Amino acid sequence: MLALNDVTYKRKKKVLIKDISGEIKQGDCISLFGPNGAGKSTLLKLIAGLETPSSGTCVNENQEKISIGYVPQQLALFDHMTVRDHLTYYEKMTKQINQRYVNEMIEVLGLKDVLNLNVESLSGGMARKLNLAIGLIHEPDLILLDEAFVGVDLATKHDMLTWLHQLNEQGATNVMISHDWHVIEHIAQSMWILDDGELIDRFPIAQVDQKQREYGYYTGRDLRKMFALRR
Amino acid sequence: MIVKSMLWRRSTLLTLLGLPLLILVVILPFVEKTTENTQVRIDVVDPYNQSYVEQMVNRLNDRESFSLNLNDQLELSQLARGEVEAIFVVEDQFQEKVEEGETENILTWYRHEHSLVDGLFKEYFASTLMEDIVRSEAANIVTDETEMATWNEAYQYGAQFFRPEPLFQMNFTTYESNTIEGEDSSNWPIALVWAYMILIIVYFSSWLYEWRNRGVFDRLAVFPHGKFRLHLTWIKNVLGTILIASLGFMGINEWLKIMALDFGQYGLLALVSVISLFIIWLISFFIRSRHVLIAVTTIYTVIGVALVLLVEWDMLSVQNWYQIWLPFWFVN
Ligand SMILES: Nc1ncnc2c1ncn2[C@@H]1O[C@H](COP(=O)(O)OP(=O)(O)OP(=O)(O)O)[C@@H](O)[C@H]1O
Ligand SMILES: [Mg+2]
Repeated sequence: MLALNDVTYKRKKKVLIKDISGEIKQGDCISLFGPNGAGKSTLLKLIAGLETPSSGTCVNENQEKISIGYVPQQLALFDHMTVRDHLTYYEKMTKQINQRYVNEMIEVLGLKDVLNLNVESLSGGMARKLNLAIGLIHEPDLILLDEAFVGVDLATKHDMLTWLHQLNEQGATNVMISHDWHVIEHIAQSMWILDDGELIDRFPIAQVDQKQREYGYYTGRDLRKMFALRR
Repeated sequence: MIVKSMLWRRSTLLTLLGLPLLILVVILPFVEKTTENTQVRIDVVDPYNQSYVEQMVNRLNDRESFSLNLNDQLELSQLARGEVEAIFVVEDQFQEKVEEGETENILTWYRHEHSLVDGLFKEYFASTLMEDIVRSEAANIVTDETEMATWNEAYQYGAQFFRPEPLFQMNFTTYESNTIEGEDSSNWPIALVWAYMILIIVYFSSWLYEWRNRGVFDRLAVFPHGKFRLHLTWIKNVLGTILIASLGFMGINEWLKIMALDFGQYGLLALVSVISLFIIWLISFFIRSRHVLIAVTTIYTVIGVALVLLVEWDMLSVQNWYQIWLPFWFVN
């Protein structure tokens, strides 16, 4: 679906992404993993087309244009607007909106009861859910999640993951950033390990036990610790 | 919807409505003073409550330019505060003295060094008094010489030389104008209004930065024209606000006549405000910090307005490069 060829990204002469190549196939669910500041968010933006690589390419291998849903790491919401207004605003961004799909998503994410509330009066978790729902509102082919599960309670997280898993089964492609092993093991099919702007490893989730043993010895402190905490 | 998001903030409403209201409250008393209350206040003090003085005051009070008050106590502090232009204090037995033809020591005239037009009233007061004095004096002489007429008959007879008008008349015409006369039409007030527009635009620019920092633009970027549409909404909202502010300013100014402006100048104000809007919008792409944008625009605006003021006060002559300051587009 999407091919990264030697993607390098610099900002203010600082190299944030070094020479990353890789392929994202349709139906994949990739988890970008790595310590803070590794460049995960930056890579996700490059994939989304929000930034252009300084060198290398990021090519859409499909015949048609793919629709992308991007959920930023921050709560990207408007002040003084209700949940319903947010949904309506983003629904207008796409030509055909599948109302049944939207209703089902609102139901699953538990947003139905708060439709008329202003975003200021939402709890942190509720705002997270709205943040996610907006990114998924147009049934995107490629779903890009930047730490979309921070602060979400376990029950809701489960519902969100179930929903994402369902979309994935129906053919959506998923690239997500998460520090949460629970999330990763629930839906990821493969992991990309990033450290200091470099893609140091790529493996299917089935190999995670073996990799945990490897990373227990040979990597930097942060990554070693992150794998150790998997239990 | 985004309109609601942008305007539904207490600080927005305060800035957009409060500031002009505040300015209006400050300006309004001056406007009323200059357009309506052009009468000069003069006080006559009579500690002895004489009915003749009361009559005299009533006779004097038919002049529109003066507003005359009769008091029984002298309050010089009113002069110092500028509340009255002059105070005239009459002596006791005023009528008797007038009828005896006494012209000295019947009246004391108090004025402030800033009093300007009280001299006119003094002349008027004096001529009215002189009428009575002259007629009384004439009657005195007549009754001394002959008994063919009583004092009162002689006194009344003298009136024909003063009534209905004194013999000597000067033509008097009031010039009325319904626009405020500036020495030459001044430009600095409109530069201040422009500064207010800048304030509005800079204030609204905070949303651009907020949306960028929060990732709203990022998330919209994956939709066709998503980012552009939000920018367009922003521009439309600010344009609308500027337009309403311009119209409001025009309405208030036409109503209260604060400054003399023609429609060309209103148009220029709107044009320059719209240009300012687009410039600030464009530089918001290059200046990544909102605080830097505020600092840059504030410095630009303050220098621009200050230069206009200096030029208007003839402390500086216009040079060509001043045109880079937008408020100089108002100066011609
Ligand atoms: N606007 C920016 N200007 C300059 N450097 C930046 C900017 N944004 C991010 N960086 C730098 O790029 C590097 C990667 O940032 P990025 O946000 O991609 O990390 P991340 O892996 O997502 O981290 P986290 O887990 O904390 O979200 C960091 O070293 C950061 O300092
Ligand atoms: Mg990040």
